[in-house]
Amino acid sequence: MKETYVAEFERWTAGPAERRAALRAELEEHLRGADAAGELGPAMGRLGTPREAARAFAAGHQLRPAPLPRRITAAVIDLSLTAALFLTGLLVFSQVGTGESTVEIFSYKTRADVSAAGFFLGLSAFAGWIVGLTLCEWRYQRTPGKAVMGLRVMSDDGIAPSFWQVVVRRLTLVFSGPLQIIDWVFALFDKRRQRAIEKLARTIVVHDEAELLPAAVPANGTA
Amino acid sequence: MAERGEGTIQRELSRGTTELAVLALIAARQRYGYDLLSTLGRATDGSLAIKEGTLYPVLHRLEDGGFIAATWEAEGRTAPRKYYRITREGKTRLDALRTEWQRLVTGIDRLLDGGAES
Repeated sequence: MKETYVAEFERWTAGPAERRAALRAELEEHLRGADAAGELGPAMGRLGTPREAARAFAAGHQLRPAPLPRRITAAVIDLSLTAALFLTGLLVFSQVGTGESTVEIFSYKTRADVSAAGFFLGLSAFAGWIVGLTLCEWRYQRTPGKAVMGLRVMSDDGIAPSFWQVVVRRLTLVFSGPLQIIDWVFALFDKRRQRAIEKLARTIVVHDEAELLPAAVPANGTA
Repeated sequence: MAERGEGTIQRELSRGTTELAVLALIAARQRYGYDLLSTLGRATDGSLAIKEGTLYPVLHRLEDGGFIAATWEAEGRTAPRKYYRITREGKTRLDALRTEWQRLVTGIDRLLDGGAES
């Protein structure tokens, strides 16, 4: 039970592997102390769910918001990958069937049919990619762009974001043009560099290297 | 206005004093998390019995502020413990908090004894 609890606790921790290991070590050390005093049950009861425990152990450490230029670069990388995927799907499938090439794809034979199929497949690839980005943020707290730039999404209480938090973040896609700009302008004037949608989702983007780490885990790593 | 429970009053009174109590305990000797938690409850007859969700954020804030420092020590055990010790900045902070606390207690005592009317 304790092992399951600790594993679930770790799932809710956020940040680089060292930070997560340090938080896990701190919890394990606390539970050992409680166990030695014969108070493991009450201690786990006070800690609450693994998510609540992760919140308790993550709290108090100041989170350093990621610099905006780094975040914008990450967004551009993600956007470029998204656009590239969509265009590749569109171009590849719409070109099949032109000139000498009359390859039959599924049941599509004419150029118009193939173009429609290409658009459909391109759009599917795009939608799949957006879902993929959302899942990446949920599972790994980062998208490819954020990984390249050393950024990470966290819940603003210092733990891993929940599925619904990352879904709300992704709602930014419904914004377009001026609204998208206004959303980012929020981050310019916000102390925690949160966009409007991030305030709504209660998430924050941090820079791994700048993030304050708790005391390092001992060398044997078994704390 | 609804009557407040004893627990609520206790929580409100102890809010803000946790940092002082934690620093005072760590100033006496280095301590680890669970030790602090149990000592706080025991030494204050339960009036400062706090939960982990209160203690660890306070410890982390003090650590980030440079008032305490944490080290992992094994001391012959198989699994090491994370010990907190007070720093020079922490001692200064503790003195300031102690002074403020004593002023507050003196003031409140005077009020409760009706001294404000004299």
